[in-house]
Amino acid sequence: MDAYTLYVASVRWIHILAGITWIGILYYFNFVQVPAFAKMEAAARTNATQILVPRALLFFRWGAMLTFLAGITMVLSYGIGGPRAGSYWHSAGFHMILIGGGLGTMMFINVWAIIWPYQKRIIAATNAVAAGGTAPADQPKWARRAFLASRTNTLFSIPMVFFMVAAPFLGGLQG
Amino acid sequence: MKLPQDSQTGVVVWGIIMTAVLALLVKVIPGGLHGGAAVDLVIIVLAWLGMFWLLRKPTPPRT
Repeated sequence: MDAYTLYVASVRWIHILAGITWIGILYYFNFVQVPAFAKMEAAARTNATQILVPRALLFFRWGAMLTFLAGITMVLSYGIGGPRAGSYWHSAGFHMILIGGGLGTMMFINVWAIIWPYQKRIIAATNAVAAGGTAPADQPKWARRAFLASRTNTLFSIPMVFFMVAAPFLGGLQG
Repeated sequence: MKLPQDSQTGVVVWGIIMTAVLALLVKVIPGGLHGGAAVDLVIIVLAWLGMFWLLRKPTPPRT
């Protein structure tokens, strides 16, 4: 086994581990937490928002960051170095990855540009209310935007995973 | 206005539909997406613009 093969396999391993962390927590938010919060009492929801949500968001957003960086590194490594350098950009595998990676990039931007900034405000507002303050009038709007971006990511994750997996195994799809 | 994102089932169904449509486009566009990265990028940008359109629609707060 040469050093390049070991390097690319390691980056792929990191990409998948981080991706599992990110998408796993995304599905937890969408299929477990949101419906559970809707049924929880306000005090329990506040407690969870103060303790559970920040920790979940920590792994969620940094999982997204590591997935994105490892993915970009992997594609550049295939395209610039190694035995397929140059020809990789014209391969069916790259075009499949371009679709999956394009969706993944939108999801990554949703995490860092919409979900996390609004969730930060929601957590701060929840802490302020728990300390005796009043909830900001815009809080429902923040929650709605973070929710829609999160659900959009859940929607995009389905074709994203298909094209990530399709790239190496379904090259014949483009026949 | 209810959006597909408001329903867990809706999200999964639309995710599967989007997968099928993209897979069909790969297969049926002359030359497929293999013929040019531009087609890939057009689809991706359209999907992204669609998401922002959904986010900008006036919608009631989530309950």
